[in-house]
Order: sequence, then C-alpha cells, then structure tokens
Amino acid sequence: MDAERAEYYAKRKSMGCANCSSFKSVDAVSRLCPPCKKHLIVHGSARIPKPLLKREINLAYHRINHHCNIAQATEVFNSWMISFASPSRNDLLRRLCYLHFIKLEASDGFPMMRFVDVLVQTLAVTIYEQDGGVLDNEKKQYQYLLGRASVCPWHRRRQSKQGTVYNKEERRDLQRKPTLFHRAFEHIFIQGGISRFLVQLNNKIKQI
Amino acid sequence: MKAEDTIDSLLALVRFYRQKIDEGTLTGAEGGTYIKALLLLGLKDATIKTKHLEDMSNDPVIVNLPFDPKS
Repeated sequence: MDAERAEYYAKRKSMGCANCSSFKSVDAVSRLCPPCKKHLIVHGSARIPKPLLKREINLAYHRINHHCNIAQATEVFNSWMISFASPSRNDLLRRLCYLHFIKLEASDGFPMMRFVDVLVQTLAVTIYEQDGGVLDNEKKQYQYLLGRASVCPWHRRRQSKQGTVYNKEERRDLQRKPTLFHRAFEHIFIQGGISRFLVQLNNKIKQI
Repeated sequence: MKAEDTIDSLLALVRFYRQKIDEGTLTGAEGGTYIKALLLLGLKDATIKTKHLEDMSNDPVIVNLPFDPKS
C-alpha cells in the first residue's frame, strides 16, 4: 500500500464509525465498527434491521392463493432455475441457488426454496415497502431485501429436514454477503421474471 | 442567487419539462437539460420503489413466467 493510500485509510479510521461514531476497531474500508459491520452484512443496513414480515407474508400468501394459479409459472421457473443454479463455488449466487432450490430439502420433501416461497416473500417485501416500512435507502436495502427474499427462506420459515448433512458454515457465510443479494435482485427478482409476475398480480388485484 | 431560489428554479424547470413529456412535445435537447436538472436534484441518491418495478419488467431478456389469473 502506498503512503497516500495508507494516509487515506488512516484518516477514515480516525473519523470513527459512520453509524454509531464509535472509535473502537473501525474498519477503514467500510468505516464501520465490528457490531455495525455485522449488522450491515446480516440486515443489509448498519442501522435498520430487516423486517420480520409476519403479517405481510400471511397477506401475500392469501393474495397469491386467491388471485392466480401458479402451476404453469412454477414449471417455467423451476426449469429456468435448474439452468441458472450451479454447484460450482466460482459463482456464489448460483451456488446459493443450488443449495436452496435443488440440494437441500425441507421436512416436507420439497426443496427449501420453491417458486411459491419466492413469490410470497418478495410480494411481502413489496407490501412492507408500500405500507411505508422503514428502509435504508442509502444502502439500497429495498433491493437487498427483494434479492434476499428471492433466494433465502425468510426468517427460518423453512428449514432443512433433520439429519441433512451439509456444510452449514458455508451456507451461513453465503447469506452474509449484501452484494450477493444485490445481484440476486437483478438476476433472479428482475431477470427471473418475479417482478413481472408480481406486477401482473398487482394489476389483477387493482382491477377488482 | 440564494440556494433556496436555485432549488425553486430547478423544481420549476423539472415541472415544466415533465409537463412537456406528458404532452409528448419534449425535444432531445430539452431532454438533456431535464436529465441534468434531475441529477442536480439528487437522482443519484434516488431509490427504487415498488411502482418502478413495472418499468423494469419490460426487458425482453426477462424470463416470461405465465400469469394465470383465477376467474
């Protein structure tokens, strides 16, 4: 590291945590102290926690159940997901998709993440946003939450069945990468057709 | 010019151009000025809302999941 760069990082460190103003062990790159940095990687924001979405998930489930059949869309999404997901560790988003959509099963014998879970969770996030839910706009937490809802079971809604042997640490680490969920927003929520499907669903609800 | 007056002028400009967009009379040069005004007002920090998802969902590359409404 050249002297100029070192001076820049030293200056950043001396400014204290960008979130809580603490001066203890501030990370020079993110300018956050360890607790705030941990909060950022788990919640997508150093100050605002991700919502539990209990009411919203319930509401989203009923909206989907009442207004559309998802059998055909499930088939299309599943075949797309099979081509997208990959067991290779070179692409962490594809690896996480492989774990959640293909490899790991819940106690009901179905994968931990199914198309219906993606729909319910992402719709719940949009309901939360429309209802004025608090989000960290600076860190693009809305995109983070939509990306997370597209690939991960929300708040342990579905868990792997008992006795499943896999690398739990790897899965935990994969879920602690905000950039991965920002990519999931683009590659799965947008390009995977979820957002378009939700728009059509919302239009149908508006017509009634 | 005071900072508040500048913002007022920018807002008026944006409102004027937005009206032209609605009428379909905005020219290319005016569009450039409109974008510059938006940038000055903080488009960089703008955030996506659910209402914007509709516009983002029109790309032909996107997977077409068949929507089957219940009657």
